[in-house]
Amino acid sequence: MKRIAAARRLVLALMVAAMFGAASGRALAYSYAAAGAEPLLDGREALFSAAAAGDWAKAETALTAMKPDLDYLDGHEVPGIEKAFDDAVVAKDSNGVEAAFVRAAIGEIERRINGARDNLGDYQTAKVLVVKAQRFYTAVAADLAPDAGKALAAALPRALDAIGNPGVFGVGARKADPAAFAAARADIFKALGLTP
Amino acid sequence: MTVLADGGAALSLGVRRAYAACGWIAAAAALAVAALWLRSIPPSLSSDDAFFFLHALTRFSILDFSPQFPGYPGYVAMGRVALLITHDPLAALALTSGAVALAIPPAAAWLAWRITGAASATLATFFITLLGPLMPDLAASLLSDGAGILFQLVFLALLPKPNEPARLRLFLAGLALGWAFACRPSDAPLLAGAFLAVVVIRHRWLPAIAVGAATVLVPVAAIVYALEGPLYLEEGLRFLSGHATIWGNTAFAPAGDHASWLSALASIPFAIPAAILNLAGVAIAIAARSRPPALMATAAAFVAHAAWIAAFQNPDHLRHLAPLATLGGIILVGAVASLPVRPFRIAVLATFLAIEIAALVAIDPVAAIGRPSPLAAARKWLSAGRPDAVATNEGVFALRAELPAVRIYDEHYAADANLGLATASGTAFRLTGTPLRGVAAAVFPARCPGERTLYLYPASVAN
Repeated sequence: MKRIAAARRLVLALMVAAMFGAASGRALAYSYAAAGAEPLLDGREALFSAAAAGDWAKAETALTAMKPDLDYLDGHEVPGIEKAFDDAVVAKDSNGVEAAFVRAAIGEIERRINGARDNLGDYQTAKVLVVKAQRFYTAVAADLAPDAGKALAAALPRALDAIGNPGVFGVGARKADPAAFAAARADIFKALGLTP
Repeated sequence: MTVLADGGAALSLGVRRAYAACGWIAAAAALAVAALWLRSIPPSLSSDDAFFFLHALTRFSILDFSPQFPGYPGYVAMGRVALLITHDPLAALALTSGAVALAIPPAAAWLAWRITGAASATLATFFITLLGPLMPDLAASLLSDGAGILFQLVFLALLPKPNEPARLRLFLAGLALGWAFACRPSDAPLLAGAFLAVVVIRHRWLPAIAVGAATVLVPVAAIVYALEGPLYLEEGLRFLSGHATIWGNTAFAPAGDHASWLSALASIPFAIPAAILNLAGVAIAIAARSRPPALMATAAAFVAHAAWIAAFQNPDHLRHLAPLATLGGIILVGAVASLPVRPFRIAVLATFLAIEIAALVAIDPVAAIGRPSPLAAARKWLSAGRPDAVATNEGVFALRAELPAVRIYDEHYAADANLGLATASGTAFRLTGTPLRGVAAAVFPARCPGERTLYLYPASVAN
């Protein structure tokens, strides 16, 4: 009986912990979107709101939370992106902030798609990278040229399909298709004006 | 339990049978009329959630919003079966949600029969459920709400009565409960309320129900986990938190941002008196001396779901009230069936039916014939007008997919959306379910309660 009571207490404690975790956890993104914290996406609304309101001190604070990710992009996919943001904030140019954000998002898509290509044998990793690329696409979808948006909307699901599927205990498993992924990646890069 | 028919002892058996036969013919005719009405409604996407389900019929990937979290695998599976018949995802989704909705009144009637054993109560439940003002939305929205309700009713109806062989019934009830959860995981409190009440009232039923539910849920969970992995759990926490505090418009949203359920209820014609009668039914059922397990489980599900939606659901989405409307009608019939005065029982049910008929007249379902959803009508208008930009939080994903030449800004990112509208090179609009101060360029009326009328304003109208 003592064991049963202890087990009951443990289950109750786990349920309470799960409820508190769900209720108190910070919302990691502002819209219907997929897993994981993304400082650029999570800080986006704060940055744009501050810029729209002309509160540039607040905009700088919002930008600070994005700095590590921008620093990485600056050194890899989007050289000069940190300066672009800084210049826009100094010039109090909200259009410039938005344009810099679109550039950063395109860089993030490039980074995640390349990451998925490099991890094509690892279903979970590759999938989350493509899904995160989709999140960045969703964030800037309205700011891309219509043709580019249409091409991305078609190519990103193809990239996901090309990752394959482990199936259920192997049943229904589908191997990753590097050629199909490369074709999808090429279309994504072309739509974004990137060099494949 | 004493039933509605008991006072009819003065009537001969033949006359009662004739009345019952007429009643069932009327019920079948009413269901046929409902099916014809539904057939006259062109299938169309009513929301982003419907858009996500549409995609899920051809690729199931929850992290990829095919469909949205928590995945609704049972509903998607039924949609895929329908796809084998229709070969068109939109038609398959319409067939699934329509067939499920049309099956709810017979299932509710079955449950009422199990609770009361009276033909009159069964028929009353059938009509109360069919005439429910949210039934058209359950049928036409293409969403999974109806599936959760339907299979929960089956679960409750399968619960054994005294002297009935229990084991197989309980196993089948467990299967139905498991499938209800697979179709509609977001109705977990509704299902848990019924399940917990059953196992509290009848401890010995737990193993058979649990085995039945596990027979469905273990493979379903294995499939979902195999496809999505641990990211599914991470996305779940993020989604629940974001839903509760940001986009879900719940009681936990920033103060002043969320609507109230009372005002939402008041937006349905005659819903307040109907709700009062429903609540009276729940109170009578709980206080009654004779409490069949199925009736108590139904009442527990009602209370659990009411608490859940009060805290965690969006009052803008009236369809969350549909389980309460359905269960409330059954509880009312079950509760008044236990009352000793026959004329009073008849008066209560007649009043409830009269309220529903008055609501039906006010809703005017005939006016909806041939009309697509407000979102689909807005899409058509925008497609013809070809504006440069639109800001909305109604169907962002669906509009982006269907209007690739228009910049669709997500109004959840208000600053981004405002900037996008301000820098648009051509005409720009706001599409909203909330009337703004200003002259609308177009209005896309709702077809039934549960849908939101959409208003299209020039971008210059402040949000």
